[in-house]
Amino acid sequence: MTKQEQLQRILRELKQALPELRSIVVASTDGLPIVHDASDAPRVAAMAATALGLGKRISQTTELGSLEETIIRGNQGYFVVYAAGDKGVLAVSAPADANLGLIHLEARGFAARLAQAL
Amino acid sequence: MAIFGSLNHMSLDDLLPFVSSRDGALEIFNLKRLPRVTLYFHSGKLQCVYLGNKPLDSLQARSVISELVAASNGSFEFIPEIRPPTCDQPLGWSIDRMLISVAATLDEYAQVVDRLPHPETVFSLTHITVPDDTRISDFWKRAYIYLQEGISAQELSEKLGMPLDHCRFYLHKLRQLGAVAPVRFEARREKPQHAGVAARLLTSLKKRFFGEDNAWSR
Amino acid sequence: MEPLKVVVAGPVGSGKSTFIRTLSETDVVDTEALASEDIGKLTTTVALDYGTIHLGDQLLYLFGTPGQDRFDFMWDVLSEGALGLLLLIRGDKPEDFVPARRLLDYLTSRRPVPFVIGVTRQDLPPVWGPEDVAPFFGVPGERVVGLNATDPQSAVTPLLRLLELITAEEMAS
Repeated sequence: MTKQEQLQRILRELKQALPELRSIVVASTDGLPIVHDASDAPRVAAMAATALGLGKRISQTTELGSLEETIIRGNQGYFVVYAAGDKGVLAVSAPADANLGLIHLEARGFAARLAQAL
Repeated sequence: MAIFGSLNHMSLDDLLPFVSSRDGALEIFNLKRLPRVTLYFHSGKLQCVYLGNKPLDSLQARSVISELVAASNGSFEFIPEIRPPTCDQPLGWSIDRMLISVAATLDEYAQVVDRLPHPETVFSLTHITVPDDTRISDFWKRAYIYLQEGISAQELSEKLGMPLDHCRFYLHKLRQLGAVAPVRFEARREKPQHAGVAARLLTSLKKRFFGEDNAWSR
Repeated sequence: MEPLKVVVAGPVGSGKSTFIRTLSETDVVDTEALASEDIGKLTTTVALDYGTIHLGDQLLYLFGTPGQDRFDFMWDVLSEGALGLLLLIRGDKPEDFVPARRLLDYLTSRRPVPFVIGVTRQDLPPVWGPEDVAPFFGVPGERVVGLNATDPQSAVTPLLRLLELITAEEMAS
C-alpha cells in the first residue's frame, strides 16, 4: 500500500470511529494538506499548522510541558489540532455538543498512527 | 435524431461547431460548479445564454462559456427550434471566433494563475481609455465606474456576477496594459496617534546603532 | 508607553527571521516548522517571529510574518495597528519579485500603512540594487533601501528610512 493509501485508510477509520466530526484535515507542519475530507482543505491546513506551531511555542514558553492539543472553541463548534509526530498535524472540527473527551481519546490514537505512516 | 451526451467524453469545443448550425437550444446540466446552462442558437450564431432562468450579459456569457469549455463533467442535450423566453440584446457571436478567443484566454489563464493578484487587493484606474483588446474592453466597460473609486477582484466579482478568478485575471491583464494599478495609500493617517513618536524613535535608534555622533547618513 | 510594532513581511527565504534576529535585543520568539517543500532551508515560519528593541521607555516590536501565500490570514492579523511595514526581498532572487509585489499590493491597498522595501544580499553580486527594484515595484526611490541582513548597522537602515518617511509625512500634513 502506498503512503497515500495508508493515510486515506486511517482517515476513513477515524471517520468511522468518530462520525460526529464535521471535517478532518491531515497536514504537514508547514501547512500543506496531505489527506482530508474538508472542502477548504488548503486554507484549513495552513491555519492548523499555524495554530499548532503557536500552541507548541506557548506551551514551551509558559512551561506547560509538551503540547497535547490546541482547541479553538466557537459557540457553534470546536476545532482541535493535534501533532501527528514531528512532521504532521491532525485537525478535526466537531459540533458544539460533541464529547471532547471521547474525541481526544480516539484522535490521539489516530494521530499516533498517522505519525507512523507519515 | 437526438443530440445528447456527456462532456466527460466530448468537450464543448468539439460539440459547438456541430450544433451551432441549427436553430435551437443546447442545454448543459449536471455540472460541478454551475447550475443548468442553456445556449440559444439562431442563424448559425450564439444569440443568448441563460444560467438557470437568468439571461446573461456578454461579459457573464463569456465567463460561463470558458468555464464550460474547461469542464470535464456534465451532460448535454440539444432541443431543436426552441427560442429563449426573452433575448433583449442578442449576442450574435460566431462560434469559431468565440472558441478561439476562449481557448486563448484559458491558455493564458493557466500560465498566470499563480501570479494573479490577491482577491482583496484594491485597484483603481490610471486613465480613462477603453482598452483595444475586445476580450478586455467588455470587462473594462462594466467595471470602470467601480475602478474609478478603487475596488478589489472580490468586490467586482459580487457586483458583476462573475467568478472571482475571472475578475482577478482581467485585473491582471489590465495591470499589464497599464490601465489599472493597485491603490497605494502611502502614509495617510486618519488620526495622528503616532505623531512625534516616529521622530523620537528615529533619534533613539540612530543613537543606539551609531552612537552619539550620528555617523549614519543616507 | 504603548509598545509600537513594525511588521516585517516578504517571500519565503527573504531573510525576515534573520533580520529580526540581528536587530532584536531579546531572544527572538519564533514558530518554525519543518519545511515539507524544497525552499532552500530546513524550517519555515508558520505563525510569526518577534523581536524587541528597547529605546528608553519606548518598546518597539518587530513582527515577522510567514512568507507563503497560504498564510495570508497571518499578514492581516499581524499588520493590524502597525506603525509601518518593511517588505524584505532578496536582491539575488528576482524570481520572487512578482509574489513580493503581490503581497505589497495586498497589504498597502487595503489600509493606509507606511512602508519601505529592503533589498538584501547587497554584499554578494550579482544582485539587484534599490535603484532598479523601485521602478519594478512602482514605488518612489526613497522607499527602497539596500541592506545586509546580518550586519546590525546595515540591517537597521530600512527601519530608519521608514521612520524618516513617517516623520516627514507628519510634518507635511
